[in-house]
Amino acid sequence: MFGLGRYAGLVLILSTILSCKEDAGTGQQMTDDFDRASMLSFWADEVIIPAYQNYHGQVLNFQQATKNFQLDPTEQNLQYMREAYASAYRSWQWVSIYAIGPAESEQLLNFTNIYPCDTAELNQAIIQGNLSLNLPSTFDIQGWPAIDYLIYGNDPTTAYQSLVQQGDRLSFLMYLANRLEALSKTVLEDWQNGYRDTFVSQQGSGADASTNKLINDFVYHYEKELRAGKIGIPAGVFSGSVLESRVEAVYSDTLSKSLFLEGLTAHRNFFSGLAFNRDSDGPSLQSYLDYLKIERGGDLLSSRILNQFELIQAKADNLPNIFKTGLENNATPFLETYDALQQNVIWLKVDMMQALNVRVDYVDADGD
Amino acid sequence: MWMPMATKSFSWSTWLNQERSIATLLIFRFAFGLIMTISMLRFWLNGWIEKLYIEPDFHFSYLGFEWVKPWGEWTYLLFLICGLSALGLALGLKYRFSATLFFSSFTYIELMDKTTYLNHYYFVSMVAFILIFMPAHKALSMDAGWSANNLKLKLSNAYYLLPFALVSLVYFYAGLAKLNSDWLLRAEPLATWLPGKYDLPLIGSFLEERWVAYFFSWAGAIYDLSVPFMLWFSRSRPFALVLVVVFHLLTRILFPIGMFPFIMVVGAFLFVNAEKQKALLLKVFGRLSADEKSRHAVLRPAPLWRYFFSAFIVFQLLWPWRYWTYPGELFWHEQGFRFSWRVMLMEKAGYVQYSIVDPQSGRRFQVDNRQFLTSFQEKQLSFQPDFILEFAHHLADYYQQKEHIANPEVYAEAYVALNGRASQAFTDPNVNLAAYPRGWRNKPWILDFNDTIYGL
Repeated sequence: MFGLGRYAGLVLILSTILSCKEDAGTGQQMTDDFDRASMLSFWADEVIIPAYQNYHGQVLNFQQATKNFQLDPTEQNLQYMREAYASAYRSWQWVSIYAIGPAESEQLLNFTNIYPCDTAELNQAIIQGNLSLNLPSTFDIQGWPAIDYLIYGNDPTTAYQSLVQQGDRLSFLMYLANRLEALSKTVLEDWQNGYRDTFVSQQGSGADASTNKLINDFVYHYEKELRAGKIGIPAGVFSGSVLESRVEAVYSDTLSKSLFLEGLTAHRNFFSGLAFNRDSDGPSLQSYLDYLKIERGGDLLSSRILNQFELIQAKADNLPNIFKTGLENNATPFLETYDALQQNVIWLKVDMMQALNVRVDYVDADGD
Repeated sequence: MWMPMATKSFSWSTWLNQERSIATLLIFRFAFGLIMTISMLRFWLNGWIEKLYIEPDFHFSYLGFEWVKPWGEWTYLLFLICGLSALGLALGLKYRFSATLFFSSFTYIELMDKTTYLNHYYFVSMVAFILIFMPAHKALSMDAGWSANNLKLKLSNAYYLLPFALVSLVYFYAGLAKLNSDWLLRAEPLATWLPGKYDLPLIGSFLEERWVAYFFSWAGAIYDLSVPFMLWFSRSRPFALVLVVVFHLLTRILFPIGMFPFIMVVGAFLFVNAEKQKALLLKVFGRLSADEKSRHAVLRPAPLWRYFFSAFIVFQLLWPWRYWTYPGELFWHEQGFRFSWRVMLMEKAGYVQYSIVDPQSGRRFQVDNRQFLTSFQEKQLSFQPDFILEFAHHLADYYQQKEHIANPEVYAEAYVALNGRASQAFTDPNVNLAAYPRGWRNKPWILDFNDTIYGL
């Protein structure tokens, strides 16, 4: 081992040369690390938990309105219930992205928003008084899509009469509302009592770390729920013919559009780091990309993504107010919105995830 | 002294006939077998048998090996066979049988789904193949007994050339593959990967520095190209061994490459002076008895085997260059990329959207890949043209059989980002891939890479 010292010296010299050369070349030095810890706590404290608080509050309102309607089924109370429903469904769009922690373990999305509702199955369950809604086979007879069917149905007037006349129908509705309330309460309380700290503390870069998981969830939700679920599938992108029955909130006319617009804004705000109550902003995917100086084709990748969000918004403004009938008449604005959404799938899923080193899965892979 | 070029009158035939203690091969047999036993166990305990081979409905096959498929729940048995045969190999129990069984079962596993392709799995297969022909059970084994007296056995270098050549070739070719402008001038993909390891203690905060990526890139290329030579010569060998350990420890910490570092460290120790290895084994297994010290046998491969070994080495030397027969950028089209010791060269990600067209009705619709594939498979699919083609054929079969669309057309619109460049269109979306046969032919439906990477 006599030669060791000499070789070590050589490596040291070589490394010094290489490093000096590089420093002189670019002249840019990164002095501080991107503060991922504060990004995670911003996400938890300013984005996710407030969104869950709001959502749970809205579900409580809906639950109360349903209770009032049950006690006194007037048209006025029906109106209050329908308003509380729309408002709660809209607030759902702000939490459904975050399928992490308790939302993941409680399968919040599966029990809340699997559509279309299987109405034959739902009617069957009401007749049989089947209240065991924990099985995966019951995902599509509960949550907001089932409520949508029960309080609007194919004809709002008939739906109202059915609720008034059929006691078990109304109590099933009450049961669904109670379930949503319990579920959202569990998830919110888990976030507040423990999971928040777990989330913030998992700062690593592994597949299980919070940043990685949440980015995966965000991109997955954008692709599957926002792009495919709300627009692509009903527009017939995956079937070759329009499937207007697959619209979200298909029974309540104009709600579909506002659900999509809420979802779109929720995704954009998460990307750009706007707090839930919109009074502050914080570290985000946008600032993370900018910190790493990620440019694509001469522009900041983050600006490309944000510009694309603007374009999607513009396309979405052309969408008809009632998705269901609009689709029957002309699917083109939906297909145009879909194409605009699609472009950001590529930038988020390929360019952004690559630049941020987000792992899809934990398996050995040596990059080839 | 067995060293080549140690004297001016070096000749290969003399060198090939020189003798070395069997001790080197014994230690290698034992260490390699044990590592592979642990690897199989690790794979099992990580739940990867289930995740990679049982859960997916569809598996990507290598050309000509479409018949190699997982055995459903019985895949566990396959891994059990593989693990036990690795243990048999380590202990020298029914050695030729164990080695053959290990090579076959391991290779079978690797051929079941090319989604999991790793260079080091290929390396393990090649080492296992070589070991079948090595007399690694002639001493300190269940077959030959554990008497230290067998350590007097020697092998001619004609045997040892095979593992030496393979290990050297892996390093050297991996080094050659790094001689390109992305690696050396842009420090990619390390400049993308290293900042993602910010959470490592001590070095984590340095990894975001550009110069660190450049340093690792250049050091890695120099290391790969020089380490085989440093291992061959006794003067540089101690330093080379230290480098090997440090280098592979570092890669183990930085990248998800599993057992590979340990295998390569064991491979490098093949070069350690055989007499030192023999002395080590004697310490463990006792002394040679005095009366037998004088006698020693030398095992030499028969001429036929010499030709066979030469053919193997020539094949290994030539096979990685087959990409020269394809036009365009290798990193982009990946035709001839695998089985060529191109390790850690690319950060590639992609997105592929398939459309199915019913030629009768003109109905066109898109496919949700995840209906058929796991997230890992979808990731690998998205930037590798042979995957894209194979899956297109699978989709054509599926829609023909399950949805009764006669001769469905399959189109793929893909976007790929390579080594920190913006994503660009990857496939011609107007080519019906269902009508395009799988095979070795160049795939003209891969769109041109709109940049240039210089070098090998």
